[in-house]
Amino acid sequence: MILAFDTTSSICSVSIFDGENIITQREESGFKHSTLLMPLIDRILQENNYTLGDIEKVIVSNGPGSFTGIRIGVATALGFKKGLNVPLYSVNSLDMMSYSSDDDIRCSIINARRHSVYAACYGKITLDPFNDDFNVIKSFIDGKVESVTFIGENISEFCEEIRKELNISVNAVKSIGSRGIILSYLDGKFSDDIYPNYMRKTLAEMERNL
Amino acid sequence: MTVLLAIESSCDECCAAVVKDGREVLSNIVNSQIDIHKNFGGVVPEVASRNHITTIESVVDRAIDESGISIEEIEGVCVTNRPGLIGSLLVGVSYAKSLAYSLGVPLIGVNHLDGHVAANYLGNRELEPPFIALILSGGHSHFYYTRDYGEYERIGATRDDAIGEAFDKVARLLKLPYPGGPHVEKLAEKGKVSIDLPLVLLEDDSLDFSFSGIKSKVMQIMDKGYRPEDIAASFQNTCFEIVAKKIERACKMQNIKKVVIAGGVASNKVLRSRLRELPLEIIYPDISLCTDNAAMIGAAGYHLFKKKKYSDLSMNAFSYSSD
Repeated sequence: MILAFDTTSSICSVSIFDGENIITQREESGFKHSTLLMPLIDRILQENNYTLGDIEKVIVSNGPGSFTGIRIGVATALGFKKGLNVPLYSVNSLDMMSYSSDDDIRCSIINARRHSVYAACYGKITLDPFNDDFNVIKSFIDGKVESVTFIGENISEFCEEIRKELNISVNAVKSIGSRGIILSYLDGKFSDDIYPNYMRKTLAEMERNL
Repeated sequence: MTVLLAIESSCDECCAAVVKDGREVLSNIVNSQIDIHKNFGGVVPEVASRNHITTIESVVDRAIDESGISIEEIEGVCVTNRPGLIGSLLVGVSYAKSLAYSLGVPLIGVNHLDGHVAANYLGNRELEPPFIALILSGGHSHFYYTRDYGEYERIGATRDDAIGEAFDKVARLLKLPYPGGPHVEKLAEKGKVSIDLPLVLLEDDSLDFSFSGIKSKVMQIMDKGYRPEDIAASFQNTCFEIVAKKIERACKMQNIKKVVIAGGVASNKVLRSRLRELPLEIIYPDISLCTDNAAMIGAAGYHLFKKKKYSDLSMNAFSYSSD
């Protein structure tokens, strides 16, 4: 059985995969992942009659997203690795989000405030994960597509902008969370480098050009 | 025999230790980030958190390897969950939770300040409560009356800067590197106690401290032509005079003659020699256990473990101390 969890956004979600089915439990966290994650893991194992010995792999989304959320997920995964002696893998959270829809052109978007985003595009046209102004997405899809699916939370301002300025129809979808970790893993999109992928330096480092 | 693993990540040191019966250190690994934070002139919380997450695995591995025990022999996982930098604490707390859960052993959340006091149980095997504990560090200047193991009551605290914080700020004024304590102590060796600084003792019955006024006074005299070594010596002397007077007062008020000193400032030799003059039994932890470490968390956690004061999986980290 594979255990996967995502704490990079405001939703805390845990999934298990037995080789056939993915079972997911999620909770609106309001960034209280620290108190929610382990009880959620304990519950999903118990409700599905699994014991710790059944866990063969642990996969965690390691960013981008909330810096603290990323670390809660990665630290929890490392504790499992030490205690259970099982392999650990990571999935990029933008990749994870991209499995929330089957549409032809999908953009995973994490709102980093002040018009900045962590984002990537998937499907018929692709754009690798980046952290920059939302305008990068705008100019990337401009003239190439008639409709697009945006995946993420707190992204209505971006949807509005696209509809108004580019006359492209936008479909907004919420992330399926850790279920996407399993799907990405099954798709071969995962890594054994589990350390956080913040995609952004700290403010202190930026100020000092470190 | 009880063997506990302990993890401490409350500030800029990533630590893990294995402690036997709350008294014996089987291993004690400290990964300091001082060289990283020197670039910023102080601890940057986000930088500290980022370093904790990349070092915690190897720090815990080393602690278990060097202890000579196998991971199956660990009977509980202790972790600092307050007070401290929240992002840093959460790395240790999250790691400890899933580790304890997957090993099937109790999780024990420990107060960092309790840890500093308990550091004394490690070096001084005969030490038993009751005693008065004084924590002097970069984040704390706290008096506790320790009634029993893990049972204590705060009887005084700083109202502004912690003593170590005042040392850091004066060090910055004297253009000394971070962290300031050891550098001020070294410079003071060459200086004379010749400058009058305010001996702030507050109300007659108060066991609180206030160090910001002394620091401000130092700031005002910086351009008055005093030698830096004399400033360092006078500042240090004034701070420790206050500490000595407060210890005497605390002992008198609590009618007790045993005092345990803890925290990074406890390693200062001038402080130790000043306190030798007091007609009291003054106890220090080993120098290596004065600054942040996980062995002290294991020592404090042991008494919670014995009393079955376990934490559950929803345990959180807190920036403040709860007492």
